[in-house]
Amino acid sequence: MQHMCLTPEKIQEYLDNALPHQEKQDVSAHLASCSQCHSEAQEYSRLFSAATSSAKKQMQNAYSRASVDAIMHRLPGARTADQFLNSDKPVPAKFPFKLNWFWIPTMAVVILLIIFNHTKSVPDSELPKMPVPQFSLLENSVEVVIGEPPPHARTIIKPGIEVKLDSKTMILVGVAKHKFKFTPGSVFVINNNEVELTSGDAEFVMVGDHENFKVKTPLVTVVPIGTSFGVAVKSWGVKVDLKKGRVDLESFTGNHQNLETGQTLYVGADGNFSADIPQPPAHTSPDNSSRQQPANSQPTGTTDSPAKLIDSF
Amino acid sequence: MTETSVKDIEQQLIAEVQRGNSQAFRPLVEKYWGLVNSIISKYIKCRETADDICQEAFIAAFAHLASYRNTCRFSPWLVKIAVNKALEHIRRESRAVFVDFDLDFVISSVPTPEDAFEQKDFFDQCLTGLPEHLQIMFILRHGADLSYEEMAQVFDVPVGTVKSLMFRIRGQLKTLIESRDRDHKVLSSEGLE
Repeated sequence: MQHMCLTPEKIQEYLDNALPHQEKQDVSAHLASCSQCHSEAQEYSRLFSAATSSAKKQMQNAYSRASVDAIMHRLPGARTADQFLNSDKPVPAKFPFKLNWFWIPTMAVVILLIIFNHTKSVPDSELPKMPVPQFSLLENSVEVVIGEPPPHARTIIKPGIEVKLDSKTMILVGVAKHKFKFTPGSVFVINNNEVELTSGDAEFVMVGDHENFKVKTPLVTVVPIGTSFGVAVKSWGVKVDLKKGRVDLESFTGNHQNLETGQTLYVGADGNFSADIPQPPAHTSPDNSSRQQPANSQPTGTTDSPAKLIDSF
Repeated sequence: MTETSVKDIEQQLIAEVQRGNSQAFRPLVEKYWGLVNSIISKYIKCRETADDICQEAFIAAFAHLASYRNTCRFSPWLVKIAVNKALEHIRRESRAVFVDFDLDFVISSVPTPEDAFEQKDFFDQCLTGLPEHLQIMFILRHGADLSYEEMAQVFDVPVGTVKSLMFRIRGQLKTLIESRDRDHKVLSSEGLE
């Protein structure tokens, strides 16, 4: 047969997941039966993989704290976005009038102290590279517990590259004597001395030196101090439970909290800590969001997950 | 999961910002800095300036969050602001803004298979030979997972134009890669003899 049954455009739309459901099924069935189209699709699939790899690499440009701080400092603070858009003049500070004369010299002293004690700021491009701490996650090894991790995470986790585990895969990552367990469905990135857990569940056992090690989630940063702890990023917030030792938590709003052994804390989207699962906002978006669980639903814990079958620590 | 959970958290953070909690904007900045920076860097080669325009883009996004409706995804909305900021800057600098979507001129500048040894390098080289907006399209489609419709909204062009560009460029790249692979196989076999 000389002619391809599927056009290159159709194959690309299929690989782009841009076809309507029925058409996608038809194409899928055809690819299963036509070796020529199947081969063509494989070639495009290789191209797509190279494109994805290239694009992800280009997006890896990590933010500098200074840049993010600069953005946050330029935001109007307590003002709503509406006020920011519509106001012609800055919102006046709300100091009590009679305290103004107290605060002005006080602030002046504080500012002077900051200027004298702060290191000289340099442009982002000249920021010295952070010295590699003695504790580093770069020398790690992967042990596959079940399933199949993505190709780039089968033996070692490379820094800065996102790892997405499917629903049937669990891995252990060893760094010196420390052990991390990433459960099915978790998504994370390992950097020099921190783990960014975007979603899913992970457990961490720290043994020995782990200076500057952190676990970052969208809502809270966990700083362990000689500990074994678990972090779960859910749709309603983040859950941190401490098995041994102590951790310091800092939410994205700057709230701090210490966690004691055996304690579990939850962090909501507003950055507040609580002993209970956070409630979803009262006025949820009109979109489907039936995914927001009611208050009494159980968190997706590990009661029935394969994690319980594994006692590796 | 995960994609929906991340989206839920994202929508909650946006709702927090819209309620007046500006600190909730920080995680969004940290999450999308890489994407925004990679796009703006295509237009603005100076890193410091690109970083500045990045900041401008996020501040503009914050300012307009009141008008954001979660009927569309946040990332395409943010990307559109970033693209506009970058184009504003280069227009201010009085540079010609080449937004011609004519492919024939472009394809002639794609490197030949001999120009790079590693396929990954070769692919990257092929991409860097394209105009900025086409490189950005690749990032948006394959890096940020934007749909054709979302990409069309970012660039204010018909969906058909986006599809046509992507299909043709990919077709050319595929041909180049296949040609390169054939040449390398021939070279390898000759080397063995």
